[in-house]
This record gives sequence, C-alpha cells and structure tokens, in this order.
Amino acid sequence: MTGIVKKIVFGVILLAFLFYVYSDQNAKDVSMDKIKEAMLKDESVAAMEEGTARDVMHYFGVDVSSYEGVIYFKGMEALSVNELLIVKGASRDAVAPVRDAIDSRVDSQIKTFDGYGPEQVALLNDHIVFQKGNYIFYCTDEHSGRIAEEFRDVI
Amino acid sequence: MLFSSIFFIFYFLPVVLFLYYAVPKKAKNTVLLIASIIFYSWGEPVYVFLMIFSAIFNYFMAIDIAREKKHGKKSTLIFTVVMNLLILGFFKYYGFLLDTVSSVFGVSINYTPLPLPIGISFYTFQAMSYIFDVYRDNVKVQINPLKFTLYLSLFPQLIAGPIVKYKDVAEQLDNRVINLNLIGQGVLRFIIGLAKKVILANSLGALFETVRALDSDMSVLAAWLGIAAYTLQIYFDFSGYSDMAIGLGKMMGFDFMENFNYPYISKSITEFWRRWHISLSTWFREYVYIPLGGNRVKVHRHIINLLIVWGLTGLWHGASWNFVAWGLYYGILLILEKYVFGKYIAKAPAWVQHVYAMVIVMVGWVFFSIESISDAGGYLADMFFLGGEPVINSEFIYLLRTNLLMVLIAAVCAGPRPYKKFMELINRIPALGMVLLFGLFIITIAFLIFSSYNPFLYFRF
Repeated sequence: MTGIVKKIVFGVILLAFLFYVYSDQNAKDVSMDKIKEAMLKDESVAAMEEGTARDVMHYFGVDVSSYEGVIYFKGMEALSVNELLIVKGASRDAVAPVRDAIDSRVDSQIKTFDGYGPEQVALLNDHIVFQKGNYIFYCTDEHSGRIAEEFRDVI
Repeated sequence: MLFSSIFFIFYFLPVVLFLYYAVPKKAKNTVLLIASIIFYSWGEPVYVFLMIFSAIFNYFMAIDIAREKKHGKKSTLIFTVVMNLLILGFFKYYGFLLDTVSSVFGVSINYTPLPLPIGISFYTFQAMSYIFDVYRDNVKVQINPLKFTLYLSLFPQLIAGPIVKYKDVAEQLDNRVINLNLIGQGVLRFIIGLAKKVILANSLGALFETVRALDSDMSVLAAWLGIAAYTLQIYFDFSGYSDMAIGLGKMMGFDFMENFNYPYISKSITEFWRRWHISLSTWFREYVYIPLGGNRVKVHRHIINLLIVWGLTGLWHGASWNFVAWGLYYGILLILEKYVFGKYIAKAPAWVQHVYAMVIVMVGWVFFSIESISDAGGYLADMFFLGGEPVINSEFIYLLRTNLLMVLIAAVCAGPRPYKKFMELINRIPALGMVLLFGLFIITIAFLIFSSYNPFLYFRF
C-alpha cells in the first residue's frame, strides 16, 4: 500500500469512528413525560411502582430539584432489587455525579444481598448504566437490555 | 477497572499473574496484551477500538517515517502528529473550543459533549514520543505490531501513567528479567501505593469535600485546612497510582520511570517540578521545550518558551481555563524564580524556602481543584482574609479535632523518612517487615470494602 493510500484509509477509518461515537452519544431533547410514557409501555416497568423524590434522595443521595427531570421506578416486593432511574440534566457534566451515585447504590445493594440473595446479586451484577447526551440511564431488571433499548429509541 | 478495587486485586490480577508466569517466555507478551485490552475494555468497551486504532496507526506511520527520513522528507511525521492531536483534540478540547467561541462571539453553538476516553492523554503522548524518537533516530522502528500495541496498552500504566517513553522500555519488550526478588519489590510497591490511595487519599478527599460544602460556615483556617487536605490528597492519589503501576511493572519484569520524588519537601518551585509528575515534565522538556530552544536562547525567547510549555502543560491537564491559568501560574513563577527572586529565596533559611514553596503549591491547587475560575477566586479570597469570613469558627475546630491526626500522619508520610525507615526495617528484620506489610494490606482491604466508589483524580486527564 502506498503512503498516501495508507493515510487516506486511516483518515477515513478515524472519521467513521468519530462520526459513530458522536452520533451514539447524541440525544434528542425529549420531555421526561414522553420518556415516562414510553417506559411504562414496557410490562416490566409497568409492574414496578413509581418512587418519590424522597426515595431518590434516600436510595441514591440525588437531589431531584438539581436536575431537569428524574424518573424513578422500584420493584414492589420487599426483597426486589429491580429499579429504573433516568435523570436528565442541563448538560452532560451536570449529570456526571449521578453515575457515581448509581455505582454506590449498586455496590451497597450487592453488599446487602451478598450471601443470602444470589438471584438479587446476579441481577445487580447485570445492571445496565449508561449516559447518552444529557441523560443518564440505570436499570436493574431481568429485561434491563430491552428497557434500555426502548429508552434509546425514545431519545 | 480500578487498581483499588476488590475485583482487580482478588480476581483480575491473580489470574493474569498466574497465566503470565505459567506461559513460556515467548508467549508472555501475548498474555500481557490480551490482559491489557480486557482491562481497558472493562470500562471503555467502545473506546478500546480508539486505543487499538491509535496503536495500529502509529505503528504503520512510524515505519513510513523511518523510510521517508532517509530522503529528507517529513510529511508523514507532520501527518502523524496532526492525526494524534486531532484525536486528542476531538475528545478533549472541541467542547472547550466551541464554548470559548460561543462566549467570545456571543453566539450559541449546540453540540453533544463526549465522554473523555480514559487515559487518552497518556497513551497519545506515549505514541507521539515514539514517533518523535523514530524520526530523530533515537530508537529503531518496531517491526512487530504486537510489541508496539503492547507498549501503548500496557495495563499497569495505561490509564494514568507514568508516561513511559518507548526508548525506555524498547529493550524490555524483547527481554526482561523476572525473579522472586523483583516480584517481591513489586508487591511491596503495589501495597504501599494501594494504601496511599485507599487509606490516605480517599479520607483526605472527604475532608476537602466537607470544607468545600461549608459555604456560609467557611472560615479562613477552614479554607487552609481544606486546601491542605487536597494538597495531600492529590499527592497520595496520583503517586499511589504511580506506585501501583511501577509495582505491577516490576512483577512483570518492567522497570518504569519514577513519577514522584517527594515533591512536598521542595524548597523552590523549580525543585517542585523536578519532583512532581516527572514523566510529564520530562516529556514536555524533551519534545517541546528543547526543540523550541530551551534556555539556550535570548531571555525574551526563553520566557516565551517557558510560557508556551506551561500553557500546554496546563491545557494537557484539562480543557478549561482554570487549567490554563494553573499552567501559566507556574510558568510565570518559574520565570520569576529564574530571573527575579530565585537567588534571594536560595539564601533564606531552609524553613522559609519550604514554606514559600508550599504556599505557592497550595495556592496552585486551588485552581486545579475548583474548575470555575470565579469559585477558585472566591476560595482564594477566603484563604487570604478577603472573603469577609471569620478567621476561626466552631466548624473549623470540629473539623480540626476530627481530622488532625489523619492530616499529620499524611504530612509525615509525604516525606521520605517513613518509607526509608520501613525499608531499613525490611532489610534488617525481613519477617517483621513482611508482617507489617501484610497488616497494611489487610487494613487497606478493610478500608476498600467499607468505602464508596473513589476513582483516581488523574483519570479525568
């Protein structure tokens, strides 16, 4: 391969990768009501109960009033670890601390159930958390992959 | 994946070391390469492709650069440097650039901020050091792509340095010594680094955060206590990571350069920067400062060279104006030390020199720890009686009473004596030294189990 062709190939690969990363991270500005409506269409989410701002503070240490919107659902059973948390911030940096709060919550839940709740620990280990644009998504559920896809479709 | 995590210490590392020691010599690089890619992709499943791209790209370009050089051309060198800077710039600086353009021209440019690929500043600088050294004939071009990818992706130092220059490890990629003595030294270094991070840095970080949250309950002394805690935190956090990286390297037969040499015993800012983040300082000296002419130029040109290097050093740390201010702050102080008051400082009593250096460094950390320039200014005002806060209040007394012992232990451990005494003990009574080291490891693990998630400060660079 000649030098110039090699350079073009590398340049094209890099541009394609940068384009992919940028579009993957890009998120539309969708209202939290619309996101909640879409999430509730999933039977796993519909089977959970909606949490309050106080629950979000209690379980995650996250102050709902600091963000543009927060959606929180939690499994109804006492020993359920199923959860869905979606936070929308003013900017990508603004929601970054929520990621730490989610990591702490998952660690704490794993410690709580370690030793006597193998199913819960397995579910927690398979949790999904990611940031897309100004949103952060966290879900622990048997169908967390499906719920995450539904969220991606909305935004 | 964090070094200071249960998963790394009890699962990943033992498995990797077992495989690494078990396989024959010629397969060791392959084991390390696979482990490094798994390590990186653990937290960066997409960006691992960027790192692999960087390795393949620089590998091929270096071969072309070596060939072109014989004909006096440097177009591939320029192309390679531009591409490396483009990658770094796209992920690290484009948001900063657009924000700056928006504020200067009063326009609103919408963009999607991207997460920073972990370690991108470190591995990009490593790749560029190789490219420059190939061009300068300082190293032979590496013809084995696996060895070059291993150099760039070596998991012990991939994420937060030290920035290892290719010429320093080129020989070790082919031949390295692995013996029980080196493994023992590596384990010792790793445990000490882990303890620095988990026991000291995390606790000091919590103190700094508490002070930052004081808000209306802030006092002058609390502001100083807070920045003293951060000063110690960033040292134990970053040098702890470097210790772990160097220790892991030793376990695998690599000899990475030292990154810290007790910076807080310095008696001048010039000395501080010879002791702090040595791998970054030497990188800038070798590939930017000396090519610009270094100090073998007229005074005004030397001043410009220093400002360029320190502006870039600041920018390397982060894409925001506080880091640029932090870099230029050191650039200006180094110029003043060199041309104005350095000779007077050198004649002062040793304790005065030390206090001078530490106050300058602590003020510098204010810009580093607080991203907003105005918030940093407010914090500095609190430190220097300009914020209208009381000198002392009950919150400060409470914080001092509950943290004094930890801060004192940390301050003593930031000097060379504890480590020197510990090494003397290990050499004199090895069994006792081993028991103490094991005890330190157990205490560190206990801290780790009961602590929350605390990533390394330098991961964001």
